[in-house]
Amino acid sequence: MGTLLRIELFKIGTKPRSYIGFAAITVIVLLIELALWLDGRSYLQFILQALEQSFQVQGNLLNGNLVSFIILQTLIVQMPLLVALIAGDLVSGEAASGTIRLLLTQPYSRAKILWAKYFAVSIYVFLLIFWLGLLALGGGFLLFGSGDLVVLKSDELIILKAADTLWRFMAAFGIAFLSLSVVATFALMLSCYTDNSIGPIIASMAVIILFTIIGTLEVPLFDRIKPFLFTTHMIVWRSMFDQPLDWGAILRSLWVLVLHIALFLGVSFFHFTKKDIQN
Amino acid sequence: MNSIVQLRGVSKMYGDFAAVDGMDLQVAKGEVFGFLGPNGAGKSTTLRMILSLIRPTAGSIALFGLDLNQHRNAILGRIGCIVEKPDFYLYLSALDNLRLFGQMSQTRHLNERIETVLHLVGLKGREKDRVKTYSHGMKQRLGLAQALLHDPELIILDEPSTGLDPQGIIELRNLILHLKNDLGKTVILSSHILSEIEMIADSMVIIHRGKAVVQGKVSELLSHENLQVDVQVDEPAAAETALTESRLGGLILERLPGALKLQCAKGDIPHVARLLTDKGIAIFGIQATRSLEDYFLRITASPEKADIMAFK
Repeated sequence: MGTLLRIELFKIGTKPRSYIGFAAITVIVLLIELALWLDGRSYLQFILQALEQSFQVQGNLLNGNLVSFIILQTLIVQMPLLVALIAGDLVSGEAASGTIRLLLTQPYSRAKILWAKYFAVSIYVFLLIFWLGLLALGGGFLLFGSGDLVVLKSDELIILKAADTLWRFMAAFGIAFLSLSVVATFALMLSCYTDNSIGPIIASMAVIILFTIIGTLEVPLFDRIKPFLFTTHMIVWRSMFDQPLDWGAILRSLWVLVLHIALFLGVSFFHFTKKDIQN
Repeated sequence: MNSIVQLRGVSKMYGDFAAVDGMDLQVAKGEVFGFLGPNGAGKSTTLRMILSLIRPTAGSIALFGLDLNQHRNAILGRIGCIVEKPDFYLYLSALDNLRLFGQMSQTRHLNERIETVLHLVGLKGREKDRVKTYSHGMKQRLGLAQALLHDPELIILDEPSTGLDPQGIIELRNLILHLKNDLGKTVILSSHILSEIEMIADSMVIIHRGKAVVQGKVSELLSHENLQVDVQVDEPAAAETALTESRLGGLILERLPGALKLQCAKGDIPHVARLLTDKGIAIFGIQATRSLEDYFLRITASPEKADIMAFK
């Protein structure tokens, strides 16, 4: 398994498209940080103008914590595409290029080959999240310093002490990793079903957009299916910045995400290990 | 027979369509075995089932005396192959591709083996180039290098001469003969170039509509076939008379300027030559124009009328 994993990582690492995600994250995070550094005060004033009628705001609200929160909230929406770009190509890309024939005539079981691909893409997702965290938190604290985090929700204002934020960010990045792992396994599953490398990437994004729309619309029919959509639970990272924390809801969402990973992996393995290679 | 590959009643169904229908096949150790058949006959499906890329609907496949279902990984470790066409990771160099597949096939002394196979297929000096810059012929050579990398006992080559220039085809033929004669390898060769099979295969199977319609030693199969033979002589009329007066008269098809066209078995050719020489007729050349190609076309054109032969 170690050899296979190393080989899969090598393949991901030598593909130019693998760096699109890192490049996109770098550019977007730096742009956000630059924009907030140049014009953050007026942006914050605009956001808080409604509150200033009721509250007196003191201290440095535009700090590394708030910048990281804004970055996380902005980028987490785009990251499924970056993940699908790699995961959706893992099996179908081999089929499209014909290398799957060579790969599956090596003395390894198909299950081991797929496990190696899954672990490799998981490591890729982890590195993507790690890079995002490093740029957001590192850059944020470097440019804006530390301070309390003000989280403005539609119906409440949450203020978290500076010392109480780091572990919440770590947990939020952990949940984001789990959420993106669902996207990765979903794209991997679609990738097992087709010989076209673009199809699974587009299909993954189409499904995420569809589920997100269903999750956003306040329609009674959709309310019944929302709890079963993985996209509903992918935004649970935000709950890590609630006060008090609703651990019951958070754990429930984590379970749903884990179950989705298990389901998508199960379908992937079932199909991949029985699939006839005809191309 | 010491079979290295054995198929028993192997079928592959796609709905009601039988891509392979009750195939029985044996490949002996140390021989070059030719796979022949028209497009869509089931050659590729059969080879893929041997390589476990496609699951048979029925029947059993054994390689090296081991059941493929139960010992898949151990069996695949002893096989090298090119299936359909040699595809590689185009964004990697040939060297990286070979390293990658060498690691997967657990090749011992990988660097030395890579050097050896690169020399063998004539790619030394180009190994650091990305595969996407390779011509089809070079990819075919790289495919061979990959197939031989882990020193397999059985080598399966699906249309290996496709894309090779005439020099490359000759080198490939010599390489296959080297693998068989000097290294004791077993080679299964699928090719649409029938002369290739005729020249290098010891045994062959002709597959048509998913069935093995003929299987046996190439020499034995062809010895039963009538050849069209042009015998170039100084006096065609005298040669015709000489043959007509002997028991070989029935072999004459027509008299041509400077030659006689005969239809005969391979074994008749020495008798004809001896008779004409004894009669003082000078022979300038003997050319057999009917061989495996005609045999193949006859079998695949009407397999139900063909004699089903199996030389075990």
